[in-house]
Amino acid sequence: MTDAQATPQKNNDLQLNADEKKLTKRLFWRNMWLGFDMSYTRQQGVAWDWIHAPVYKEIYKDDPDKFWEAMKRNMEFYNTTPNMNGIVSGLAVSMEQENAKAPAGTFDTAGISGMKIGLMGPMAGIGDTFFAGVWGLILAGIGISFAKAGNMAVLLVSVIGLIPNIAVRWYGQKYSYKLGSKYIAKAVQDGLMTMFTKATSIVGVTVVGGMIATLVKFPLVFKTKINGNVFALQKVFDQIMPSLLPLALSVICFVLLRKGKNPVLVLVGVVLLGFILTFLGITGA
Amino acid sequence: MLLYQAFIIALFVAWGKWIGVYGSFGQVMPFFFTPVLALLLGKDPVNALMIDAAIALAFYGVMQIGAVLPQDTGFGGALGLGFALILNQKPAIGVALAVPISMLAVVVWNLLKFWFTTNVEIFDKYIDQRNLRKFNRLWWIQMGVYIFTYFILAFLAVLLGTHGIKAFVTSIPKPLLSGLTVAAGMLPAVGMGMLLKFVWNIEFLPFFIAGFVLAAYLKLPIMAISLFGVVFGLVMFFIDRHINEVKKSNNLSTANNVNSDDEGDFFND
Repeated sequence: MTDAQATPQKNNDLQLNADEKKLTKRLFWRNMWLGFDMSYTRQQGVAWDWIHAPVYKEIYKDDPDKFWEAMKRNMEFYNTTPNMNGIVSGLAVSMEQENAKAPAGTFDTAGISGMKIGLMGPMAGIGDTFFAGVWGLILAGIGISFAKAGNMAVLLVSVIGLIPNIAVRWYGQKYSYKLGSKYIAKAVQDGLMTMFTKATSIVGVTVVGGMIATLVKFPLVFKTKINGNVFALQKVFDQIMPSLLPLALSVICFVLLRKGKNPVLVLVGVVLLGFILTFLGITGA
Repeated sequence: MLLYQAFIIALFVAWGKWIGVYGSFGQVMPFFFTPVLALLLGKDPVNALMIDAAIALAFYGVMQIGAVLPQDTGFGGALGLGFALILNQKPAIGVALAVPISMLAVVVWNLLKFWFTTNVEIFDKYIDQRNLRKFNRLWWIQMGVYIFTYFILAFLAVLLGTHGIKAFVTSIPKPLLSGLTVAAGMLPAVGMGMLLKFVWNIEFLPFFIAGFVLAAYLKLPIMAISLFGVVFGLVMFFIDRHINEVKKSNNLSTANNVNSDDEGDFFND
């Protein structure tokens, strides 16, 4: 095949025909439900099956045996960031379609499970870092600064926040469905996923550094007179470094959590610290 | 009146639980429904936003990673906001109520998840029986119970708890209230610690320092710091990609040049 022949076909690769459009649309809406029904044993396994049941039914409409076999097979353990699931889901559905077309015994369905298990980890790595971590963090940070001032522009922040969520769901599913496993596998193998997660984490760490200085409050009110000069504790600390105490407090929390201390204990500890220092007259509102 | 308020707050809580899971929309839409709640309760939406901002700050950085939920910030936050609104209280009171409620509410989720886990076997059974109708029915029952549990809990909490909480709130002595405000201001430190623990790698230390300095010394707003973060992230991404490519071409050339290397050794000898 020459290049000239290959090019138009390549363009067609990304076009969905009417049946595929119906299928991917259905999958897109059902995938919104992935976060429901978490269980200790299978996490999102049952939700995966409920989401894909109508799609499998369409794929295996001529063969109920294969449909129920697929339902049973996909009840396995599954857990990823719901926003990222479109990518895995699109791939899985295209593989199920291959399975439906293949003559009995020629398609190894273990490949579908292998792909799901192989991808859910990297996808959760990126998804949790980006959506739960960085994106949610930035949106909440900007939202808080608007909301604190009672500014209704906060509503706009929420709408903008939805864009990457929907885009990753829709285009992730579409492209993984059409382009197939080799592209995604190549991205994982090339370390592209790891590099992307790392870049996202860097954004997160930078923002956290900034948030500590702006959002964590450690207001010192302690004042005394020494030799007729007013000695204000807050001023002394500010001269060393602005936001020194919020930084110290956050780093202490981080070290304790990293050592495996229970978050609830750390939280209670911080609340107690706030009360005790206020009763001693060192901090105040 | 209280009945209506309890109903509205319960509806708000149930809606929050729903939108929090459906498409994970709640995660990226903080504050969106706060003004609606305030209007339905006949309160000032701007004031509601301020209360909600204080609560969000106390929960800042607390996030669900994998399946572990340290605090139910959705339930606690909604109830803290609701109580502060109907009792016409300061933001600090909202925080004081939201934090303990969020810690207690995790128990509810753990119980629900336990029930979901016992249901897995029943789902398995329906698949073995090839009964899709029953499979779907159990799914919707679970969904209904999930939403309704939070609805009824919030409803009862407001209906039965408001008088007690009102008595408690009005009897809080002044020093305790300022202690509370200080503690609420310190709480984001815990969330920051959680986030750092999640992404930490010693290689990220320079970016952490940069973010801190940009805010503490240059007083830049969060948006600007985020954009700096994107710059740092992109720079590292391109460097990594370059290193990766060099590594790959090195591997290729060493694989191809086995013979020439041998020759080189031969001539060097």
